[in-house]
Amino acid sequence: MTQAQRGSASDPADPGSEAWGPLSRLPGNPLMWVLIASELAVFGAALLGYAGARLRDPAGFLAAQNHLDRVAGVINTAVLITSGLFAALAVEARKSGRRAAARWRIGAAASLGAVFLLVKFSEYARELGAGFDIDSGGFFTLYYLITGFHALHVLLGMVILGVVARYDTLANYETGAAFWHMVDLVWIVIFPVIYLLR
Amino acid sequence: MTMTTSEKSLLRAWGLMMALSIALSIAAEPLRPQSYLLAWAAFVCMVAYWKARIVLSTYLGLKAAPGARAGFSLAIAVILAMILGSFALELAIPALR
Repeated sequence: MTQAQRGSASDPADPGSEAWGPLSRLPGNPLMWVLIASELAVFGAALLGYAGARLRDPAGFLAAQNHLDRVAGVINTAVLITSGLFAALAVEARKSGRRAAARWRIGAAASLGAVFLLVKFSEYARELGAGFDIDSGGFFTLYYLITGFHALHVLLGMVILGVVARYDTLANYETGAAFWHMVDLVWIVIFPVIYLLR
Repeated sequence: MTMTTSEKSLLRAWGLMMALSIALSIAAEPLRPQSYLLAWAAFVCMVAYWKARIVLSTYLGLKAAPGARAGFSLAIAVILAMILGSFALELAIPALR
């Protein structure tokens, strides 16, 4: 259900208002889409900074990238894609009034977020144990900053999904799921750029 | 429990993204010789873009809002194109290698 379908008032303070223009046609709260666009801009700038830094030292970046655990990266990609599926399925369940199904699905999405963090932090632990910290050259500085910032978004997303499960209106489901899919979308770009492009 | 058409569509999107992710990761080692670096980078970027489009269209439901989908797709495409451009620059300027 879009905001335009939900309300026709022209008060921009009301998220159901058509005064949001094109944003009114998107699922969930229009402000979430403003946040998603700005988050994409931030991650985009960080990845372009990474590409620029790599240009200055391709050999150093290649050597550092060889120390990453690509299997952990693939597992986390699968975990986030599956988590996104559960979030989207939760919205579908809520749309058709199956509130219990929606709750367990959004719970599954958040739980997979926890699995993502577990895998990510065990990866960090191995890298730190091998002596690669945030000061270990340009690659590792950007690697920890970009993936760490993303992990923070996963954590925030889990909190948002928890709030959605508690206050389970359709608008909240759509808004929370939109944030979660943004986290998924960003990882879909981060993973190949940092782990596979060498 | 029977699945709705939308739920089946979501499952298909999930299956395709899982297959693309796993296939790309498996291919990452044998397909990455230095002589094919640019072609490999272009392939990786195209697969990433494809997956991003699936998330935008199916998970985020922007199939119903083509204008927004086009805008977000363009943003992702620009980011990936600039990253690919950095690989092209690396190959074009020998001093960088």
